[in-house]
Amino acid sequence: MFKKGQVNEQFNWIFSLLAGAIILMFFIFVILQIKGVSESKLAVEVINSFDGILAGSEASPNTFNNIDSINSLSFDVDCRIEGLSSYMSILGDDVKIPLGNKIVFSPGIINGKKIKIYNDPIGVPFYVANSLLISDSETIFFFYDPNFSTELNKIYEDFPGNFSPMKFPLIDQSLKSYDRIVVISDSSPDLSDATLDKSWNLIKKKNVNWITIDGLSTTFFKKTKKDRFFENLGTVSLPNQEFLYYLIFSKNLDIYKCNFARITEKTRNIASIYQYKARELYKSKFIQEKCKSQYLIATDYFTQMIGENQGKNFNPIQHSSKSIGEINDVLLKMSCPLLY
Amino acid sequence: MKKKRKFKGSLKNKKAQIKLFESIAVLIIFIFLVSIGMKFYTASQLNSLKEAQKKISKLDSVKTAIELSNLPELACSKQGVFDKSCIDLNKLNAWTTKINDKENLRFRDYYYSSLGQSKITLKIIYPPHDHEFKLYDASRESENSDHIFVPINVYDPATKRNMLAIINIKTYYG
Repeated sequence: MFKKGQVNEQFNWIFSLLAGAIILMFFIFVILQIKGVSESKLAVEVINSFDGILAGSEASPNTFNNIDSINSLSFDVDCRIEGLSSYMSILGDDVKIPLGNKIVFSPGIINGKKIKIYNDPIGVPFYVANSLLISDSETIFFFYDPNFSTELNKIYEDFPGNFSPMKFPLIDQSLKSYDRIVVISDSSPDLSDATLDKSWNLIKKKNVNWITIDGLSTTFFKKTKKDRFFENLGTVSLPNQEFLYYLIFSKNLDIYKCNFARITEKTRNIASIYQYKARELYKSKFIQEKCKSQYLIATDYFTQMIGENQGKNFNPIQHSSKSIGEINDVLLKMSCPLLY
Repeated sequence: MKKKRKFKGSLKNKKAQIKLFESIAVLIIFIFLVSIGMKFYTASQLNSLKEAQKKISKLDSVKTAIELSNLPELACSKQGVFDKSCIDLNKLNAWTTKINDKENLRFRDYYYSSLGQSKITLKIIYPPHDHEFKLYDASRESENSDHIFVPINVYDPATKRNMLAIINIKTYYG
């Protein structure tokens, strides 16, 4: 049996332990709260700096920027078809910032030591937007061309060189140092193919996007985590080769489709502005008669371009594009006010 | 004798109870003081956050101004080459008609992600012009707003005349 004094002492110890634990938990809670707040603050600052870098890259068309990654954080770019909006976030953080009118393509999460950004202007033929193609030092674009196809070779030749694409037969060890491989090929991923089978050990733990090109019809495959299998995500018909690069730089088919819808919507908006401008110029008393006929023809092409009820169809834009370019050239020769 | 022992025992018990209450009181006072400290700390953090928000909002207004001048929907161009410090009068008329079209909000909605919660107007100041162009209106009842004024050139392609205008950008936050 314990004596009363002993019980008292034991109780004091238990009480001190409990009180200590409560105080400790309280401080841990406070520290975690402060840590969470400062992490969110840092995420906002970093993401804003990155947005600033994107804005800078967007300002100068056809330029390439190679920048050091900020704080070794991973960025993710997302696009939502509802509302046609694009967002950027830091992986594992709730902070998201809207990308506004920026059209950003990235083959996956951006997390390398170096971030590469290429500004590729979209013109139909009038300027629509600057698309930003982003990649990192962990990603390699690999042209798998065992059949030596001329079509694939042309795409390889036109590929923005600063992204350092590689071409078959430079397979095997050179792919080892990358986390993400984007394969561009004229054939579907077939693991019974001897070369691919041999390289499987190299790519089995990596993120692999496989893009199979058949003219302008392109199929997107993604390597699954389990088994030796590439999942077919779907086939899209591309309006022109420019869009092939956008697809190559897309994380998945949905993001490509979303950005494609944004480009189509923006093109139609701008075409409707030019249609109004052409009408105003046609009606203006300050415009010479010889110019007016051109504005009238242009109005029709812009109407075709806007193509009410065309949904995400880019063909009407493509068809009218050349004619509008020609009309602008004629207007320039006749010293009339230009359309664009 | 027995009574004396009993009395001593109950006195010891009371002393222990007082000690216990003392300890609990110390603990409560300690937590109370730390909570007050935390409240002050949070208040100061909130203040600095509000300041940062104000700063960001000022930057947002500048960002909106840049976004606006970068829009090919408004900027002057010659053979596809843009002059970002100039607005084409025909495009300006087209833009204001489309963005203020209450029956078709699709055009306005598209630009919400880049122009956000703001109100943008343009006034031609030379030659003097009465009309004020409403470029974008996503205003709301709020005291938390920030203003910036951006001078810009407005070009009329039909008359080949240049005009001086001021863009008024009001950004809302909080």
